[in-house]
Amino acid sequence: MTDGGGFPCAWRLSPDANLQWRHWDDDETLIYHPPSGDTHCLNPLASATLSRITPAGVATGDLITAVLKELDLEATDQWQDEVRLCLELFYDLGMIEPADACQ
Amino acid sequence: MRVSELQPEQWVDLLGGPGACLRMGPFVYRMRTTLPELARPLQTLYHYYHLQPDDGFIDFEVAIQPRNRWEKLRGRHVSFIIDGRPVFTPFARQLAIPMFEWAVNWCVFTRPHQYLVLHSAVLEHDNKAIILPGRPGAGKSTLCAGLSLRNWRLLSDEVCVIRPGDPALIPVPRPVGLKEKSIEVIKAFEPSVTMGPATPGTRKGTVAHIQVDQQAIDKADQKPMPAMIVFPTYKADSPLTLTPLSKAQTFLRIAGDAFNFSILGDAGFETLSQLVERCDCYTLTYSDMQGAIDHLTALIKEKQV
Repeated sequence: MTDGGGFPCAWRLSPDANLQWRHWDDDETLIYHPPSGDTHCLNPLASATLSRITPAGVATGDLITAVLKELDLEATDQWQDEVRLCLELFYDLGMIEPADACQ
Repeated sequence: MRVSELQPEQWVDLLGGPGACLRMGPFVYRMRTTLPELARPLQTLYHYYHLQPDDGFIDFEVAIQPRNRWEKLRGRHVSFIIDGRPVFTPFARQLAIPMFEWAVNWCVFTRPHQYLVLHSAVLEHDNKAIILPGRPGAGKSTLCAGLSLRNWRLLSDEVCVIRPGDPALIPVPRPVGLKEKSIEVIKAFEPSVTMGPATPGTRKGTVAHIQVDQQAIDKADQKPMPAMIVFPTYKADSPLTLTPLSKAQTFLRIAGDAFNFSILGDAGFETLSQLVERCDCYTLTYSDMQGAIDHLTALIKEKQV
């Protein structure tokens, strides 16, 4: 199931993602992705997005609303697209996947 | 018994016969060579090292010698043999000293994956350690040499070694390698410094090594806690500039240049995270070495660990 535009309507963490997180007093968060062995540095938007995705899954619309609210950003098309872009990137990296109901 | 206590001919016999067993931090090497011209420089560089009894576990068997009769007859090239196997292509015999030093380091770069091994110099002052990562040519080794000649204890010029689960840094004292202009810079900075021969024609130009001092050897069992991570860059005529670096950026820069970060996986991430967390992190640009040393000394004295 998609949101009508082809974008998955829910996302969940990949079962083997096993992400490790480090956040220090900067606007940067590190995540380690064991399956790839890669470490990534996330900006606040990417961090807020990924941190809200659970193994069980979260609806894309709810996720975007929560992320923009957390960062005190207006719900403009541009910011919503930025969150979707983050989701696509995390998917490409193998960290998340569309939730079952949306595949 | 220290290497310096052997008569030169005893040292030659040892290297050419059963091998000299030397401890370098947690590792014991058995060093062998049949090249007589290596004996004196090696005795200079390893002057203060203690000979180990040849009855225990040897971590690395290293030998530099002609690989076969043909190589011996030609006399131009020699080979490195580590743990009984030739490694690397044969190289010009006149490069034997820098190649030997590089190969001894290579063992630690590539093998002991029970440790996280980072590419950096490490020194200690007041039982607090400074970590100096840096790409080749940045000025890491020159600053490392300068600090070690101003009462900082050398842990290593090339590797920061950490056992996962233990934040203390493990010394692996080795001769500091200098190249090109740095050799003269250090001789001018400290005229009493003892160096091995300068070897021209390496891939890095002319290379020379500094004798490891007695303090570094005698305190090699003392593991200091990490206090600062500083990325040094030598820039001619520049003022001394110390700029804080975020922990995330510090992590990424060190991990990108580490020897076995990806091999250790989760343990590598956890260990490096804890290291960065404990340290103040900076970039340093300098041209005046004594000024840089004074500044770092003042900084580490203030740092609580």
